[in-house]
Amino acid sequence: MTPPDFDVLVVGSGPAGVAAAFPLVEAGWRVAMVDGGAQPGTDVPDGEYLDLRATDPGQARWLLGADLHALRAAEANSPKFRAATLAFAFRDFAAANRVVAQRFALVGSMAVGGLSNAWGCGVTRFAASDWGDASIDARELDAAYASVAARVGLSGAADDDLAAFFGVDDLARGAIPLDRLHAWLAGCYAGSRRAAKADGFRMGRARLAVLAQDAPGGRQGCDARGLCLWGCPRRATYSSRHDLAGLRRHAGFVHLPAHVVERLERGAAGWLARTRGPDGGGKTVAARRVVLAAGTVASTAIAMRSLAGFRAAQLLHLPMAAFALWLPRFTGAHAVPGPATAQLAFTLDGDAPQEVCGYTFSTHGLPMTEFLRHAPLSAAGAAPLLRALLPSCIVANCFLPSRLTRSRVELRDDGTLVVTGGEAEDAAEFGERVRARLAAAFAASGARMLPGSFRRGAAGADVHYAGTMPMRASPRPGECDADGELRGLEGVHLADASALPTLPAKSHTLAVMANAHRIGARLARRLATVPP
Amino acid sequence: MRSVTVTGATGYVGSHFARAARSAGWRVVAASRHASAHADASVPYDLRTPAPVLHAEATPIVHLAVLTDGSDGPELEIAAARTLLEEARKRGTYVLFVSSQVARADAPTAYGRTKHSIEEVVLAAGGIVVRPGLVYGGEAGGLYATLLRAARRAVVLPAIVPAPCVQPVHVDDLAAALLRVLESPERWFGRVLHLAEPEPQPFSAWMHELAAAFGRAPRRVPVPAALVRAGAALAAAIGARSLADRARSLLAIPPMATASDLAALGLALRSSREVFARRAVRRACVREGAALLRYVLGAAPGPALVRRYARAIEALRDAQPLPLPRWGLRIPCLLRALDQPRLRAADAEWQWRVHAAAAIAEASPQGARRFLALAGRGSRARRFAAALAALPAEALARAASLALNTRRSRG
Repeated sequence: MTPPDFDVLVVGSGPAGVAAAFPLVEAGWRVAMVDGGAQPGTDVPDGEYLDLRATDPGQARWLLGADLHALRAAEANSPKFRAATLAFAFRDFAAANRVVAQRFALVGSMAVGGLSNAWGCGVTRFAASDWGDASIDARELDAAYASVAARVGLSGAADDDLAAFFGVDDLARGAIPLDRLHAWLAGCYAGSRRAAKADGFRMGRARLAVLAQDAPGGRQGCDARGLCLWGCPRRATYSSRHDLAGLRRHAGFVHLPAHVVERLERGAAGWLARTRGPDGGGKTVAARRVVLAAGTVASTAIAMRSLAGFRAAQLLHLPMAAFALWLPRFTGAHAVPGPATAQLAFTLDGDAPQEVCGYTFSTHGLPMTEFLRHAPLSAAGAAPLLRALLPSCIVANCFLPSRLTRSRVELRDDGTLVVTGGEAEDAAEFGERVRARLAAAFAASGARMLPGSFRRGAAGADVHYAGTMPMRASPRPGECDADGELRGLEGVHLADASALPTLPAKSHTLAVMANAHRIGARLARRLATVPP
Repeated sequence: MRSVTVTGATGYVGSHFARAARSAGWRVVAASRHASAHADASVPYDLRTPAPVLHAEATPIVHLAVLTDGSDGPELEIAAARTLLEEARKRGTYVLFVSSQVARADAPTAYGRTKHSIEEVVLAAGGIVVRPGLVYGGEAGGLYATLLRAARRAVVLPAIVPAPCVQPVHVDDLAAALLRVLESPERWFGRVLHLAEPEPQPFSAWMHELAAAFGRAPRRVPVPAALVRAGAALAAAIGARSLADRARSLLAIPPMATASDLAALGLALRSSREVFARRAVRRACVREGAALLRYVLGAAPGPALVRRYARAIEALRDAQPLPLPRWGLRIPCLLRALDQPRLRAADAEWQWRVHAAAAIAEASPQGARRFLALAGRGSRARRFAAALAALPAEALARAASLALNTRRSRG
């Protein structure tokens, strides 16, 4: 019997895959990591956003893309999908993974580093109740948070009303300075917070996976150059793509880019993954255990193709809305350089406390065309109006509870995974209530919600997919245990959001990373107790 | 490295051929009165004083030079051809003479008869003769430049009765064909090759397509052929002999069988109809882009933006220009009436175009000045004023759009 090539195969190099791999390679295990292999094509320009916009004659290269990517993606749900520099992070996902979507704005990544190339960098620690009944060792999880946070680099710690909600201030540096609009808004909130809190509204600093200061390893701190939408050229925003260098320093680590796993088969001493490589060529990778971290949808497709009888599951995600706020006193002001990441965050109590969560952003760092398309005026009429108005506006997104979704995944006989979007009957009504309450809450802080600006996103546009194979105290086939080990596919562990038992309206990436690290660390110990 | 000497290298066909030859890996020696920008080396050459082409290399000679003003007799040109042939013989190489479809012993024009005489000399010496049809396309020159000028200027175009026919060949296709011949000349020594679209087409229809490619639609006025002959005689009398000669030749073009030569060369020619149609579309896209960009920018767009818009329509919208009203193309600020939310929402394609124009316009320093409140550009008060000033125009446009909408719904 030949021993497998690797102790662990990690499928996916996104935040979850990388987080699971670190404790394994650090324990000396041989780890192979496969991913879609896509790398950036268009460089992010070096400079400050407004300065580049005023002077760079070649700005169409990154604003539109040499192939006019921004126009090709004109109908897409988010400005991010139109950023030419991020096109590589979203390309080819559905076809390569044989996934089709119905009434669902499916987003996934074939990139090295996965969706962390283009994420919003929000970070929260899950509350104990967010883990459902899965018996997760709290101390192990805390240690995992600390370990992951040290690598990622967090900022935004502040003594404010959201410190407990985010729960990461022990791991985070202070915040990047607010721009003047947000500083004014935060000041107004501070003056009226008692009343706001009574209405179930809280505001505070956004906690982010963004470096406030330069870090060892070449990543530089945020200098508020405003290019966040296109991908930070200073690498201040965390991408797991940049963590591969750290993994490669370990002798036992092998990265196999541009290999897509279709299904897993049982091998003589573990698992065999047959991959489709570049130019149709493939490999068979043998490993004692497999960690699936390809992102919820891709991991689910692999698991369903590999586990007979597992054909359908719920798909949790967070309905999303976006709106614009106007701070009248700044009307007519000129645009000022500043960060384009989230600056403030807010929560709203619903049936449960802090059931809705959102972030506010400067309008700076977004092309004006993104606003022009929604204006109830002609383009020629809207342009001078928006020019005078936008520097006095901020934009916000908000995540609504996942209980409002009714989306599902189902495997067809031909191995195609179908994602079908759906929402609860009261989703629209809930959204409308949230709109009215947020409008009132922000009005109390001196910001007017622009009429007609509150829009609920399409199902799936939130890109917070989770919970298809949840961790349970007593898992049934298609669910997993606290080690992420899938019942029915023993030796296959789920490290991405597919294993989350619940999906609270929070940024879940850091929690998923901590859970992946925890699973990786437990695997490292379990591998030692069983001889290869 | 393969080399070729080209007489008339700075002319219409010559410059296109020199460029094509170089990009196909040939070293090009230009033999002409002026230095060529597209050659690797130049030697002076003048048909009127046909001294030998003085350089040591034994290269094939592509003979394109021609006396254009027609004031000298055919003898000069024939003598020049003989000199070239003698030189080729001494060096053990050959002459490829580019003649004309109108070359005939009994041609009604001196142009055609001269070409025929030179052909005979070349063929007798074992050289190669290529007879192209009506050469067009690329950077205009030669007869094509004259025709193009006429097509772009004319308010009326004569539709000559009975209709003379032409067989066009694109100048780049001709260059490619000449290169094919140079690749394996031994197959063609002593022979005449015919290069043009196999189907003859009425000259006036071709002229109309050419005019349309440049955005013109001149009226057709039937003109008897006899009148053209008379006009040509008149032109000859006032000294425009070459042009007159060529106009007369046009009326007497014998149809030319080209299919077998094209097949032997392994060449498929582009059709002038498609070339002109594509150009017409491109032109319409450019026009649409210029209008829409001007509309969203409120100022004339830079040419790079217009090109980018046209490219976007070609790449992403199947090269289909929108049927915009003429008033909107002429006075783009009036497009605001069509760009009111209700009309826009009713027409997804129109909405896409406005969005594309805005996105393309914005992605430039010019667009940044229009769309962003940049520091140091205008005061807070001026931005206020500009925003407020936009409102009356918007109200007017809204009213106009309501009127348009009513008219449409009635229609």
